[in-house]
Amino acid sequence: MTSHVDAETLALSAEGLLEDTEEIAVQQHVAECATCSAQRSELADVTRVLAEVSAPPLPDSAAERLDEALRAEAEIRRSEGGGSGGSGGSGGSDGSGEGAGESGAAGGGLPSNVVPMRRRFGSSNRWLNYLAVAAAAVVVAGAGTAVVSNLTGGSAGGVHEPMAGAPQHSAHGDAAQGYRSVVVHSGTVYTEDRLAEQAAAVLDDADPMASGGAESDADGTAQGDRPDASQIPSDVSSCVEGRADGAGDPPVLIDLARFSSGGTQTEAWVMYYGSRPGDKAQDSYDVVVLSPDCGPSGGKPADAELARTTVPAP
Amino acid sequence: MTTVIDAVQELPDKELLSRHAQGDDRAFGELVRRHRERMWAVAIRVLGDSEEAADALQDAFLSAFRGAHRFRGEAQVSTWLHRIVINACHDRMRRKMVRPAVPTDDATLDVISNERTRASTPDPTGSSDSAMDVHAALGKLPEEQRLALVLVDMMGYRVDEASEILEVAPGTVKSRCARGRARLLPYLSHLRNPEGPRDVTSPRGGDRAS
Repeated sequence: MTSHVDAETLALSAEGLLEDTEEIAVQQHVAECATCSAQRSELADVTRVLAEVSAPPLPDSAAERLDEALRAEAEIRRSEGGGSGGSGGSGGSDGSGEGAGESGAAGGGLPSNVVPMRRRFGSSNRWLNYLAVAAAAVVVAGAGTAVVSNLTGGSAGGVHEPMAGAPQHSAHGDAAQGYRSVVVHSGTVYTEDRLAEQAAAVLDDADPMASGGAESDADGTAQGDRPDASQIPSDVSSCVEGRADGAGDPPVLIDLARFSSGGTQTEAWVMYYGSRPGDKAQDSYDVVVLSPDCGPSGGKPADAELARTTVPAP
Repeated sequence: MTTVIDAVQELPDKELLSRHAQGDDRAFGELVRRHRERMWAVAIRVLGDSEEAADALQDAFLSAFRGAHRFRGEAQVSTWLHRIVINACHDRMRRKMVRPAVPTDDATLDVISNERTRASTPDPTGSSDSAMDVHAALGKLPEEQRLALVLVDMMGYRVDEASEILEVAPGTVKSRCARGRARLLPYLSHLRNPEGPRDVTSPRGGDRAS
């Protein structure tokens, strides 16, 4: 072996990530090459240098600000629990929502009971069951797929009004939504060339939950919980709303992933648009790759489009 | 069925979270006290800027406060909190990237340096120069590599812990770390080799002059 081993290969070797034959070749080369041997120890030093960086302690001012913010949040929670929470029974389903594997707060009906507002609608039980299935489906999808979340979009024409009386809660952004999109982190690095193939693979794994979501939506029982929504950037929902423009359908599935083009990887939101849930069997999906410029930062949704394709339903 | 509140400090994390979800106002405060330093340490290392890190920390704990009912018991509370903090950092980084006047590459050093100069509390560790250099170097990495290195190399977490926090396979954590280290190599060589040439792009040592 005459050529030197590049730093990345050395680093992968140190982690035991090379194939056997390559590993042997690397070892042989490094044993005879002072340059590569030196580089290998420099790599080990990177870890040491990183470990030695000490972080400053949490500044008192930041700690106070944090406490203050949480106090305010607790105040809001108390007032919601007591005041507007009076409508808590409107769905008549708090009880069914309880015991669905969450921290189980709902049953007692204490005045201070702080069941999140969104749990008032529909059968949380059912929604959670659906999510459990969805989570399983996504985990099977392999590499790095794990977070299953649920994005509540803005009101898209009130297609599926959850139930009578719901609009009074719309100020909380949790109700009166016309749709839900399933959000996954598939871990896919999309490329323009392979987009159709990659999208098909993601759909293949995700479809059971996408259609499950559609069904639940169609009969209005999926308006219960909104798991992990806090982990969904609000930019994404702005983007979805901006694109829908009040008229179009929201995506069935959103994959928070990455897009690789010209050797650069960027974050990308991949939207899978299908026909309206419940209309008919889904036979194809429009797949649009968007850059985060699609968010509320002033960019036009159209400018944020990185690639698009149409794939047949799995 | 008002529960008698035992001394909250005695309770395990999961119990605290569950009590918080039931409306116990003291439970979350205790969780915050337990975890905030650690979460801060993650945020400051990921973001490299005190203001940003403090904001991310606040975003994260508020998000956890509101989302406690979504915690599923299979993970450790600490793992869950790490995820939320990392998500909050991710959001901050992305917002910063989207903003127009983004300082890049070498300019980052100046920015970090300036922000330190402005900061009211000087870094008591005295290791600010190398910390700055490391943050600037980490800033050149793809985010996923940076996150993996922050958890594994900087925080000293085991690969399987980082894997659970980042929700990727252990092998993925390893390869992200490996690629990240290889990429950092040219930027950090002066730190392991102090007499080597330093790429000084910002005035140093002047910030504490009186």
